[in-house]
Amino acid sequence: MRSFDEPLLSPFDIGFGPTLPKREVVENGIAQANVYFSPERFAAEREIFSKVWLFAGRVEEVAQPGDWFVKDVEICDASVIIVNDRSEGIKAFHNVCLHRGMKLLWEPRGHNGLFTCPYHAWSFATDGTLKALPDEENFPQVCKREQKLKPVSVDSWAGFLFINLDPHPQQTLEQFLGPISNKLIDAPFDAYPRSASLTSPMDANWKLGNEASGEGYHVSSLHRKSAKGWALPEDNPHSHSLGWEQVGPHLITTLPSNPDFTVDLTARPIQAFAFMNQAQITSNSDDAPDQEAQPSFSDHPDLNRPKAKNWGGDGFFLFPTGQIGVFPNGWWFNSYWPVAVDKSRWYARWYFCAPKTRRQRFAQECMMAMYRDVLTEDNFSINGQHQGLASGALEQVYFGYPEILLRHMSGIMQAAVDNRLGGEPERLAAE
Amino acid sequence: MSITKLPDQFSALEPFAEKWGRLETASERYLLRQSLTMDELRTFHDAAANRLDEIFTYLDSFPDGDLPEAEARLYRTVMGLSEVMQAVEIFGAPRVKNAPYPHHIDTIWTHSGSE
Repeated sequence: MRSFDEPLLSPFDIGFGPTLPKREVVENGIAQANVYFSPERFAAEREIFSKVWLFAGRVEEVAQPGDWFVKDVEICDASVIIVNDRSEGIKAFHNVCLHRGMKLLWEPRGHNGLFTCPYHAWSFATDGTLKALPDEENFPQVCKREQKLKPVSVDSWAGFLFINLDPHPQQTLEQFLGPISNKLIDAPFDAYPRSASLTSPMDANWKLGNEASGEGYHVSSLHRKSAKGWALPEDNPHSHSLGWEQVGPHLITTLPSNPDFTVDLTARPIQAFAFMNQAQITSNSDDAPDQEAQPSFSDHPDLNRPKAKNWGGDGFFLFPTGQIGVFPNGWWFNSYWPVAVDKSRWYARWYFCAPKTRRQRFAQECMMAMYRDVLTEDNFSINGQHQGLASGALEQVYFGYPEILLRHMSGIMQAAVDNRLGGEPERLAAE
Repeated sequence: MSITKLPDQFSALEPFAEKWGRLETASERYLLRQSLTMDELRTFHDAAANRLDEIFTYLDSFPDGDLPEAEARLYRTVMGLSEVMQAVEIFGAPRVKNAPYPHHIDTIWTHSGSE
């Protein structure tokens, strides 16, 4: 585990050979501003998204045979069905009818034994096989038995589902995740079955969103009213990482929380009621209601590796996008997906324990209003940030030590992009 | 169509039920909060914020599942306090700074496994 102010140039491999992150970004904390608005670099990022493992969802979303959901990868113009097939288990297919390319499933999730295309009613089994087409004898070029929906690689780690749009993935999921593939295997993610999802379009490059979620340096200012109190301890006001590591192209960090946070019952009676009846996801406070019956992440050996006394949570930042945030009383997933060089999509999901009372449901509703407003502060600010960068006013941006993860996130993605552009990234010589 | 009044002991919240008691989702409640003045939000806050324990002790005395209409309306009304909390206790303003008005965003709740 590194302490917060020790950047380290460490190689990663996303299937194209070991590569070092861009040195200037990692060691000096200086990045060229055009990475956020260069169309050429965005095109290279599109290639990367089309060839690596991408977070798609959770196994609970396809728990029963016939359960399915759709994962869109907008930068690749891809829409992918992930489905539980009774015989073959979890499978993924391009959401594209074999007839003339119509989008097959238009809802975000559902439960079906058969997928029927809305255009001409061609129908497919959940293993992808073409089962029926109207006026079949007049399609001599189509042999049902040989036709299956176009498969997409799908695999899972610790209950998280990943897809790979490359017809021949360069790496298995296990290779892509590296040592992370052995972590959190039995962590109690499914003990938090009630979740709240939010999504919205952003007028900003996707990397700006991920960078905001990778540092707590902005909390005391941007979230002064909405989060500073519970997020920042007095002895760590800029939210320095308590310990972090780079694992291939991925990053893990341990975060603080504020053990001295208490809610003023007089000034904030609603928030006090909420916190007393539903442990705040990120809280380690003694005021949190007793959730003994709830398996906790707190003692998991793969979490809080620095063994911080006031453990706020761990963030697993998976290349190329998405953060799994694991906390004392729940967890969340936060991600920004590229759509265009100046457009992205924010998707986040917070996971709570099953509420036992209406009181607890109300408290969870309060939590979500709180979390939603914090991310709203981030997201509209980020749109303004993109505008500033796209103006070309700045040639470079700076990542300081409290933004240590950003040095690495940015340095890793830049090196990966430089590879695709045929540049001369620093490679590791053969060991 | 007549509106079912709130349970008698909560009749003081009837003025707030007119606006908040029809709303079903967080998105609707967030939109209403954005449209109200601080005075309107504070008035609701002052009438209800210190009665939450009483309100939920009452509501949780009913079995799981659908509440009778008067109680369901009470529950929907009180859910509005999740948004009032943000405006009155956190920001001192109805809207999040720099967010557009109106700001539409859905909070989609799901529960995996059996409800």
